[in-house]
Amino acid sequence: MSGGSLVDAIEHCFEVGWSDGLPVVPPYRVLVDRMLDALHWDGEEVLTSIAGQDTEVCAEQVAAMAVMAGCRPEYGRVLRPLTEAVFDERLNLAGVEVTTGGVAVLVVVSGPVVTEVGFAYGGNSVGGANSRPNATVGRFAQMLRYFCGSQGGAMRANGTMGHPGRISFLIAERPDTHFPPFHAQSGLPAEVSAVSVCSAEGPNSVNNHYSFEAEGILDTIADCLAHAGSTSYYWHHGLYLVVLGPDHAETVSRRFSRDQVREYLFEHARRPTDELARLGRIPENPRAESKVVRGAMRSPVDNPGLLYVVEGGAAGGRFSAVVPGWVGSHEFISRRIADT
Amino acid sequence: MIADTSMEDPMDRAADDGYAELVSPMPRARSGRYSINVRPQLREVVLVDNDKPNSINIIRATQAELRRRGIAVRDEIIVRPVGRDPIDKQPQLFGQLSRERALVLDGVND
Repeated sequence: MSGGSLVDAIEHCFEVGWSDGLPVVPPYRVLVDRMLDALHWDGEEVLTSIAGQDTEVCAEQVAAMAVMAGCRPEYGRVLRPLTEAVFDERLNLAGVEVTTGGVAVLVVVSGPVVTEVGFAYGGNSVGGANSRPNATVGRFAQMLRYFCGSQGGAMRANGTMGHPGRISFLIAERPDTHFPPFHAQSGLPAEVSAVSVCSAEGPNSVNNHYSFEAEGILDTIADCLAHAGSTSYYWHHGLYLVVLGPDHAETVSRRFSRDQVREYLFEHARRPTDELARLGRIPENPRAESKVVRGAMRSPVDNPGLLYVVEGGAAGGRFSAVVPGWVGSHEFISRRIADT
Repeated sequence: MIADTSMEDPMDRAADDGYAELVSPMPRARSGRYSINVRPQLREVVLVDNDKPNSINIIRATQAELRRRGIAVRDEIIVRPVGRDPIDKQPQLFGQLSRERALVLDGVND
């Protein structure tokens, strides 16, 4: 397309399918080139080929997505490692788009970059925080998923229900977290900045305003993790993210380290296997890998390492959240963000 | 109150300053040409199980139902070794299916 008004360009993007359903910033050549400079990529550089689709993705296309999502070039130091994380084979981008699970790419930003770039980490923490860095970087990650995993390739999205995070889904960790930084759970040094991704369902709110004991808070979270419809009961290897609100984190951290929180939740988030089988949450002929033991209590995860904890949200309301990962998402994929 | 709609439109600028061209975000498949044989060479059905919950039960029921209707179905059900991995990451199975002369019914997914 050439010529025409800004509104014409936005409408053109809708017409040719360059949209996630919302208007985009038209990927004008001058804006894309500026974004490429910020990303330190040559436009023709092939960044990845999507497994299972024989699809190549060039830097120019990724930069166009960043422009369309509304990102500023200053976010480039986050967008580059984020792109590398989303293209990591462990995320299984093509699988994310063909599953009936309807999952989004969940982005967690942690470390000094949160304040340096201006990510919001208070109210509406899991909902985009009404902040440009949160909303647009999260949207960029969904565009990578959508355009590279589905729209540009051979696959079609098959999510039965989906959730609003498929437009944008980013959580920035509170800089004053009571625990070591989120990315330390992925083995990165505590002092660095990092971006981490997994594929995830929508968040479940956990309300507990009247317990000021760690066990009361964690037992409530455990009950949410272990509800009968929790996704991973059978497959057993999908991760979960627990977003501790600062008021809950303050109470819990007085008694438990983060690893102890993960162990506690692993032990207490359980339901009877026989009940799950009666409800149809366990198939008739379970495979050995799923470790189904009749008569025993069953966790939705195979081990506490699949339970991640991040601190986010505003003080003043005693809420947390549980974000279930896709059963095919076995770990957060973390990348270090370069210093400025 | 009347809104001010006089905001500068970048498209009013000269067409050669970078606001005339839109860059496509669309990756495209790089596949070469390939052929698909839509007519099986054998009048027989071969069933593939994708290792999903309860899927083998459904495949066995399918096998029985097809036979009840007089359709030749091979005894052996091909079972995908790792249900969660794309089939092109399982080259042995991929090769086996590409050489298959019967009608392949690729089974249940979730």
